[in-house]
Parts: sequence; structure tokens; C-alpha cells
Amino acid sequence: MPELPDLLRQRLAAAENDTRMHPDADTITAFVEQSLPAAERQTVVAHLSVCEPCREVVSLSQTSLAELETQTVLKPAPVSRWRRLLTPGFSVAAAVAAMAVIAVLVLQLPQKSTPPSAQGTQQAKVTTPADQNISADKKTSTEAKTSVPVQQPTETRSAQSAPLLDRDEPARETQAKETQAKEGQFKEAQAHARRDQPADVKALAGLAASAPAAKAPVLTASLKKDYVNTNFFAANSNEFASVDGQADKDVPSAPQPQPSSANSSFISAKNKLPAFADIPSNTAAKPDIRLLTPTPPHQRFDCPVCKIVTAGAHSLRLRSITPAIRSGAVSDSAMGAPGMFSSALQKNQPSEVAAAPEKAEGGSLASSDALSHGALATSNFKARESSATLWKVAGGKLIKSSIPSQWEDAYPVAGFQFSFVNARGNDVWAGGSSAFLIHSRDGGSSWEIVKLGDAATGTIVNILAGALNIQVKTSDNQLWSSTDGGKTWTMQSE
Amino acid sequence: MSSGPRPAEGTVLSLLVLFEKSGGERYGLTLQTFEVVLEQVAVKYVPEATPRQKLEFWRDLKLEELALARACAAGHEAAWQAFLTRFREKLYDIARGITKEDSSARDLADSLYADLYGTSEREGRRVSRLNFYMGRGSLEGWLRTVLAQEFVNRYRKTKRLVSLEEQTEDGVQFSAAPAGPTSPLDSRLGAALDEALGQLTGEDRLVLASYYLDNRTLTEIGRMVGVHESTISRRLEKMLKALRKQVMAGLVSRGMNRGQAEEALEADVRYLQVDVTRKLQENRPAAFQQDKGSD
Repeated sequence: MPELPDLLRQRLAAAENDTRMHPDADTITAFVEQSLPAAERQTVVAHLSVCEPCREVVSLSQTSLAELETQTVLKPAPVSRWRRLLTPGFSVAAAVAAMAVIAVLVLQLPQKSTPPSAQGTQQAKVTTPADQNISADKKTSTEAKTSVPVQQPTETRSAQSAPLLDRDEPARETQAKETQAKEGQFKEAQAHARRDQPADVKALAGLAASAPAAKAPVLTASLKKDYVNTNFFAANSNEFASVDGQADKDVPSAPQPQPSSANSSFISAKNKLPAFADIPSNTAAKPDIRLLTPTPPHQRFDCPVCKIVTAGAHSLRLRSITPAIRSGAVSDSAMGAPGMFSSALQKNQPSEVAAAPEKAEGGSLASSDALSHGALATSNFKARESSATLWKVAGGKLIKSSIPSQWEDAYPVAGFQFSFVNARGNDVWAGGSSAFLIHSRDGGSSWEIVKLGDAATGTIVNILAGALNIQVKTSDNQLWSSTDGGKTWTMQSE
Repeated sequence: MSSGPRPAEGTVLSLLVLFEKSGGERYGLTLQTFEVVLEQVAVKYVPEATPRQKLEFWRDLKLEELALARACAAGHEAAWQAFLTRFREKLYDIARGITKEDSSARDLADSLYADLYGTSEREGRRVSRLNFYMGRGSLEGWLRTVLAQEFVNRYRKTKRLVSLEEQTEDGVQFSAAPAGPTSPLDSRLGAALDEALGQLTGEDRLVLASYYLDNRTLTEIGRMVGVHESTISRRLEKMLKALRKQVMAGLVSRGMNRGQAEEALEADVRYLQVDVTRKLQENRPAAFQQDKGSD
């Protein structure tokens, strides 16, 4: 290119003759960093347009600046918007949400496993001797629990060979005969267990009568197309696993399992060994009814998270049946938070109370054993031992028992409907309808009518009495308290 | 020591605020020393500014780095520790970016480091180059610019000292004979070109000179001006078209017909480029009163 030497010569000549003033380093730096005022920037630009060395300096400064910026770019890229969401707080929230979803699934899916009524009816028809099956299942499970070391190899072998047994009718019949032979023993044991069961357990036993419906999907799991989901729950369940395996062997009328059911049998059989191996040796002493109760979710799911979630849910359920008089319940309400009743105490306060041993010193609720931890439970026990007077409200009457099994009317005045009594030694408080409250200091020999106040309405539903501090609650949610042994009363809002 | 007038009473409080903002106290500077530094900066860049304008100007300075540089120049140990921690490695990186070669980069950086520390003495005191930092740009940018200036000076010195043998090795002897002073074929063409170039803005002249004289890329020019390279490309095209039109108009106004004007313009493009240099050299600004050598 012919013009290049001319240009180079012109540039070198211009540089050699350059004796002008140049912008200082500060100004060039500010120009490069674009922090110069507009007027001054124009001046610098005008100079640069005619000064090749300064253009060179600017260019070099920008080149190194660009390289440094490039080095900066080589650093980790800025976190994307989605990755910013993965903060510890978001992770905690996500974990909580996931646990909530798991809890819902754990609590809801067992209900889904229950077949519809129509389906249950159909299956009941199919398995006419359903009770026998269930009994056989119970028996099998009971045997498994009572003789774990012995049964374990047998169960393991039979479970592992379940797919083969499904196709082996003679083996199945032999197994069924053995099971039926043991059925009589099982029924006898079951009847014996029902006699000793408390009411709630009996109720559960009643539920067990409908167990075929609940067990049906498990029993016929290998016969249904949608068995996979059912087997999922049965996979880690001790009872379901044994029922599943036994059903294949004990139900004569059951159709032959489909070839595809081999997988499900294998799944349940595969889980039998660890399931039965986990059964403690003392489970034989447990009532048989346990087998008929729904398996707790944490037993069906063996993961730690499921256990935690279901344990929390289980504790929430059990809260409603927490003993009314729990440790510190009364003393907390009377001392920790005056005027506050334990809700459990209100609902479950026994109508029959024993007079708590009266302390010599009075005036302090905290020093009273009756208001200490486990007060009523221990006082009840002591009262029975010392044959103390028992107080009870029955049929709207206030009765007491100084001699065991002999009750007498403690307040033979007609026209009063008693609803609550609180006895502490000879100090007895009893209340009833229309905020009627009486007090006896001598074990019921004499009574005085206590007037709460003109505004007192409703039926007295609870009385907490100490030597001086007394609190009375009515059905109208009025809370009356006295700090002078019942002489003066003040109503507090609850 | 202060060369400028003392700040008004109303600005004393603001000076105190600026001093606290600079953090000069932790480097051993005093408020009086810092005030003197600020006055020096104001005298150099805004000598006729009012106290209020000075205050606004000072607020835009890189006060923290200014205090650090001046504390280093004064020889405070804590300041040097902070300076070395922050800029020692950067100095070598910048030099490497300029020279594109490690040994010369280290040589360049060490040379500057010696100047920054102050190897020369004046009246028994070390003279540090950091005393010339005024805080208008960042200290890192200032170091970059100083290194670039030093590199250009070295390059030009070495170019001047190139031996004839080296020039022979570079093939200078085989190059075409230098052309004489470029003269347009017609004096009217030169006058028309000068007139058209004189109407360009400073930035347009900078773009034109950078592209045609320095052979810089569009990216480099765009970075220098602060616009995208595509903008530079379009601007160059527009500029050449406009120059052509203006030169044509100038030639026509000087008695040429359109055919002659086009023939004169198509003679050689280099005339335009040479005239750019010559014309721009004539329009040198006198805005900068301090020579780079005194920096």
C-alpha cells in the first residue's frame, strides 16, 4: 500500500516535533475512566486528535484496563436469579414444605388404600370365608410374633418361594390345612384377649370385624391390576407382609395369581425377612388385637423423615387423649398463670374426688401437695390407702363416701343441682347450677353458702381450691377468684 | 506550605468531613496536611473556582486514594503497607498488559516503583512521584496511565536510538524513497480539504486520526471515545461522505466544475489523510499548562 510509508513518516515527524503541553496523568486517567466534566473532556479529545503519543498512552491504558476487566470477568459469574433462591432460608422453607407434603401423603394415602364399599362387597363375595382368612392371617402373624426365631426361616423360605407356591396347588393346600388346624387355637386366644381388653380396645376389635374390607386390597393385591400402589405400603409393613404372603396360601377360593403378580409377591417376600427380623422377642405378650389395628404410618415407611413426620402427627393425635391431670397442670394454672384453667382439666376432671391431705400450713398454693405435680393422681392413691372421704357428684347430688362402697348424700337440701366438687381434706367446695357454691370446712358436717357475686351466672364447671386461693369457673365462661379463702370474689375475664 | 487561599470558615466543617471520608488519619495525615493537598489540587484544576465550587470539586475526588498516595509520599509506614498490599501485584499486572512481555513488564514496574518511593532527593527530602497524584481518577488508573507514559517514553527513546544496522535489518533501506511533502495536485484542493477538516468536531477528528493515522481498530477507537465500535464505523462512513461533499462544494466554489472536482478527489485518498495530520497539528489546543515531563 503506497500511502502507508507516508502516513508513518508523517506520524513520526509529528511526534518528533511535539513539544506541546500534554494532559497530566490524572486528567488522562479521568478521561479513560470517563469521569471528566464535559467541557474538560472536549479539551482532552481535541488534544488527543492531534497528539499521537497521548493517544498511545490512552490506548495503552485502556488496553490494560480492558485486560484487567477481562480478568475480572474470569471470576465466577454472577449468581443467576434461580440460584439466588437457593438461600439457606429458602432451603429451610422448601424443606418444611416438603415435609408438609410428605405428612399429607402419609396421612392421606392409607385412607386411599381402603377400597370403596362396592369393591369391598365384591371382594367379600369372592372370599366368602373371609373371616377364616383374616383369622388365619391373625394367627399366622401371632405365630410369627410368638416364635420369631423358629418361624423366621420358615417364613423366609415360604416368602421367597411365594411365586413358586402360587403355581403349586398341593403345597398351597398343605399350607392351608396346617393353618386351619391352628385356627381353633387362635380363636380361643382371641376370645381370651377380648375379655381382657378395655373398652377402647374392644372398639378397635369391633373395627376389626370390618377388617376384611380394609384388608381386602392387601389380600387380593396380587389379583388386581392396581396392586402396585398397595404393595408399596405392604412392602415395609410387618403385618401386611405376612397377610399378603399368607393370603396366597390360605385362600382356597382365590383365583390363581396372574403371572404379573409374581413381582408383587416377590416384593412382599423380599421384605419379610428384615420385617420379621425386627420383631422383638417380647411381642408375644402383646394383645392380638394389635394386628388388626391400622399400622402406624411410621412403620409402613421406613425412612427417617417419615418417622419424624408421623411421630409429630401421632403426637398431635395423642394430645386429645393426654391425661387431664398431667404433671404440673393444676399448679401451673393456679400459680403460673392465675385464673387459667387447664383445658384438659376442665374436660376430664373426674367427678369423684378424694379429699387431699390437708397441710398444716395454709395460704400458699405452691406449698400445697394437692396442687403439685401429679397431685390428684397421688392424692387419689393416698386417699384410697388411708380410707379418706370420697366425694362425688351423681345425678345432680353431692354424695360422699366415708366407708368404702357406701355413699351418702352430703348436702341433703332439695332444689340444688350439683355439678362439681373439690375436696381437700375437710375443706370441701361444691358447686352447681345458677352459680351455686357451698363450702364446708369440717368434711361436710356443716356447710356455708358462698355468694360469688351478683353477676355470677351459669353452672359451676370447675373449682380449684387452695387454702386461700380459690378459683371457680362457670359454664358462662366466668372465672371467679378469691384470695382470702372465699370471703371476697372477683370476676376475671378468661 | 499552602499555595492557595485558605478555605472559608464555612468550609472548615466540610473539610473535616472530607478528611474523615478520606481516612487519612489512619495513614498519619493531619487535617492541615490534607487541607494543603486539597488546595494544591484546586489550584491546579480549578484555580478560579469559588469556595463552594472547590468544595464540589473536592467531593468528586478519590479522597481515600488521594490521602493514601500523599501519605505514602510523606513516608508513612502504614500507608506504604496499605499501598503495597493493594497495588504491588497490580502494578506488575498492568505493566505486563502494556508491554505484553514479562521481563520488560517487571523492569517497567520496578522503575515506576522506584519513582513512587522516591529515589531522588530535593532539599534533603525524598521526592515521590505519588506527590503528583491529584485524585481525579482512581489511583490504579493513575498508575496505569503513568506506566503507559513511561512505556511510550521508553519506546520513543529506543526508537530514536535505533542504529542504522537495525534499520537495515528492518528493511528500511529497501523501502521506497520517502515521498516529498505531499502537495495536492491543485492548491484549491488543499484549501477545500483544510476547510472541511476545520469544520469537524474534536471527537470526529480524534476518530479520523486514530483510524487513518494510528491504524487503530474500531474497537480501540470505540473504547477511547466511549461508544460501540459499530458506531465508530458508521461515523467514519458518514464523516467521509460529508468530507467529500464539503470538499466538492469547496472545489466548486473555488471555480472547479463538478467533473474536475471529482477528478481531484479521486486522485489519491492519502491526500485526505495527510491533510488531516497537518490540519490537526495546526489546531493544537493550549488548555494544558503543565508538561508531561514535569508530572
